[in-house]
Amino acid sequence: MTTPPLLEVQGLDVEFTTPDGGALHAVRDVSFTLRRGETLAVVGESGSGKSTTALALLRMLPGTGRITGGSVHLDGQDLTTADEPALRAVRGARVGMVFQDPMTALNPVLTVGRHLDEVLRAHGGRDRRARRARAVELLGLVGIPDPERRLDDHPHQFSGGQRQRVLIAMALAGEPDILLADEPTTALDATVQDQILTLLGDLTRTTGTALVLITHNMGVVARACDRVLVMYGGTVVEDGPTAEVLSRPRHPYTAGLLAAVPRLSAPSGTRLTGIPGTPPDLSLPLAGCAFAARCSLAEDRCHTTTPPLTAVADTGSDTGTGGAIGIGIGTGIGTGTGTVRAACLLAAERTEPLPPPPPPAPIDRPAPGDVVLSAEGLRKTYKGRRRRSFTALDGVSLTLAAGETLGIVGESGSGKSTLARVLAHAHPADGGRILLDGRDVTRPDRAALHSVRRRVQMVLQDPYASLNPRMTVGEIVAEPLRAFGTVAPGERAERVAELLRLVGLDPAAADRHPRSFSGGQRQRVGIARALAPDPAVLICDEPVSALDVSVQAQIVGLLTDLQRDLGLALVFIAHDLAVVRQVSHRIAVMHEGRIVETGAADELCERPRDPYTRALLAAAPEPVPVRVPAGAVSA
Amino acid sequence: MRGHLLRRLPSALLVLLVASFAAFALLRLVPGDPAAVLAGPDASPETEAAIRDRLGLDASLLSQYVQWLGDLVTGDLGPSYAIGGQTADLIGEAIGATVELTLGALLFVVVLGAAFGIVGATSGNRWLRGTVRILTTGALAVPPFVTGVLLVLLFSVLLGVLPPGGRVPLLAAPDLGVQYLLLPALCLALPSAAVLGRYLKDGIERALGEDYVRTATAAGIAPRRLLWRHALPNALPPVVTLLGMQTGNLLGGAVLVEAIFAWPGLGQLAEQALVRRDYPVVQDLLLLLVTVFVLVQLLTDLVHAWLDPRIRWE
Repeated sequence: MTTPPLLEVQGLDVEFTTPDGGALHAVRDVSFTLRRGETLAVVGESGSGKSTTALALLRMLPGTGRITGGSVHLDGQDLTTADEPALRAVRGARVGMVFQDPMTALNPVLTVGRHLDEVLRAHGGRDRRARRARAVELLGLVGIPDPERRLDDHPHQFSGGQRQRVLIAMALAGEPDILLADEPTTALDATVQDQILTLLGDLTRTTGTALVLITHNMGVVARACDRVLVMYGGTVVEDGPTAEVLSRPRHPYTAGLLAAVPRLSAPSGTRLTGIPGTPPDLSLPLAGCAFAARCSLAEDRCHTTTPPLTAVADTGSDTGTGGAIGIGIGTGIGTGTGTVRAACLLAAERTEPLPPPPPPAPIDRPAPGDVVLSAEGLRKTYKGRRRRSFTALDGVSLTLAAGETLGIVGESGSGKSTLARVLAHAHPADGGRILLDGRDVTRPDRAALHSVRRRVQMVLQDPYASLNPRMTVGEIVAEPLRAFGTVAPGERAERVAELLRLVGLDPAAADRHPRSFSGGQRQRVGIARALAPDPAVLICDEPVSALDVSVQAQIVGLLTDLQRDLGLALVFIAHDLAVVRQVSHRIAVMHEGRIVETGAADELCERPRDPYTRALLAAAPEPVPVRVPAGAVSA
Repeated sequence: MRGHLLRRLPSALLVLLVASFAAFALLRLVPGDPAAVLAGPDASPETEAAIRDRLGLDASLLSQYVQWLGDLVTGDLGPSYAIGGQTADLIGEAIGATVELTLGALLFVVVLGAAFGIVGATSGNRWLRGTVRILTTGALAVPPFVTGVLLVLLFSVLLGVLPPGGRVPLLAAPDLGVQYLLLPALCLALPSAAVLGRYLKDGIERALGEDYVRTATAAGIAPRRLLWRHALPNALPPVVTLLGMQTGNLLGGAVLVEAIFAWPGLGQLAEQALVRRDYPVVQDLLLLLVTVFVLVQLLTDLVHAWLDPRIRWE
């Protein structure tokens, strides 16, 4: 009684033409199926081809992208050969899509009602009044309060989470068979992410819509999907039931990715686990396994033979639950629903599961020294037009010692970035005091400001936007040397080379432009620039949130090593509590411009006192399968 | 909306005050004396002094300035020095012609600019897009006094379908008036239409690459609607700002174009008045232009707020 699959993708290949005329093979021989009502997660890091695959399904590839091989069958209809009108009849009606950034995905000049009306009209809604009634119903369905009235509001009058709800309503308007969600919660705070995932789960269950959820977040996978497809370098490396794949990964990449996800349970002062190396260059022809270059288990044949995606032997259920990963698998999951397939020559032959990753290694770091930076009652208010103002910092006090890392966590709008800028004197404080080495530097004169800026440096979030694309890496790192005049002009090149070595880059990188580096390498350049004037304090504002998990461990490890070697005081701002716990000595939790709780990292995570801290801890998704499968809900 | 206008009022008035001072001072700084021009080359110093006394030019500059502002506020523009008659009448006669020319040109700017922009951004035909690019580059690069001559050569001399110069008021005889208006209006409009078209093309291309267009595409919305309902409204605000600024250019350019096509408008009047050092006429004209410009800017802001709901609700 096998029903034919709703969606069947066979050997899909996608290429882009690069500016210099070469071919970038973004998706290579991807095959998978989706049954009616199934929830499938496609997980992978940037460049894995997961979003490109999703766009290729609906033939919406941007720019020079084109499908060069394979087929996509939706209920027997091949979408790779369908004409434009046929595709439009599929888009929105049979397959609804939700994209990553709700802030830009809605047209700012159209009301939310117009957005919904347009979709309903495009798919046959003739009667205007019926369309409006349906739009109200849809908004209600996705949990927008007072939908009748909100229909006439514009996108900017909604919060980020609400906008994502509106986008989900749009995607569901045509009652599609498949909901394709590309990183739907990545741009949202953890608590909002939680709500949206719950909504998606409820909606797909009640409407019977199949869900394809594209994400880089293992926690989201565990939370939302029955089955998972792991992608790497444009290929599918593993495919199977979520509980099985997350607890007993067969492919070394899946195992590495899982080990790299920071766990809230990992204690302070331990190293994050990463995957050495960088993702493959997709513009080069691929021989063998895409992961071979980074794989610790790789043998010679892995570099030459392309591993097929094959069913791997069932390893049984009593050989342990995968050690570190399989904490608390729900009962009844993993009892032989669906096979696990992996594209690994070794996995196909192995009968034992991969060994669990070693527990996080403690970092040997000296105890913090004297206080270098402290703040008392900092206030900062941004004035809006017409007497509207926004208090970003409302009496924030903190201390920071040499060799100490202070983690600052909070959701967007909590004031963490403002705090970073005020501490670095990028913005003046409206009230309170800042003490550096015991001297009041709240309102420094020109000379004092110069020396404060030398002592307190920043590492910024986005390694793509924070490096001037017209300057070489050498010029970028040398700029503070020139500005502060700490190094004689003749010795600058030498100092730049030394700084680049310090952050783990080849000194030859000085002559190249930022565009020829990966995200992780760019962030190393950003750190080298911050270290150039020999600062005592480094303020890192979300230094790893734009990076993939396998790379973030390298950057965090670099920062902790630098701290140990140079005695730096670090302010580490992030929204990911798990990372913050591992790197920080102490943590301060920010909410609405105040520090609501502060304490030793482990203490705060294990015994939170403030209700807001508890909410933050509860909302952080862990990559542990907890999802109760459909059908077992009422049991 | 009214609050917005009220907020802008003080700065608009300040602009007008500064402009009036600049216009007044500029004329006094230019060498030449109206009394000497009026009296002629052979007049005795006594005659010149008498004329100067009659025109009030022997008073201090400050009191002349205050006198002029006072007259303006009370609506009395006074007599012209040299051309003859009341300044208000002279401007009144010429303004109709210039308004007609400028509005005609504005129509060309909008229609040609929109065509250049939309075709340039969305046509699937490479040759058509290339043609538009060459046309806009040409229109931008060639100055009006060259295009004017070329247009006259083509349409009046070679084809003989349109008159080479002069004016018949449009409202008095629409069919004939249009024939006289076409060439000067087109000549005046071309550079602005090219700039507008370029901006619109870029704006549409950028908007078509935005996430919300991707959202709409994924929802099965047809390409025509993507252009008209999604991309165009988002591409318009900066283009409207540009159009407001181009209106100033049109008014300035009218002086030149009016001379080429013997169009009896403000430009012609300004030229006459300047040559004869007819202070009141020149001053009033300059201030009039600035006033129109300020009003157009206010109008631009209102259109902006109407186009973009994020501004409307602020």
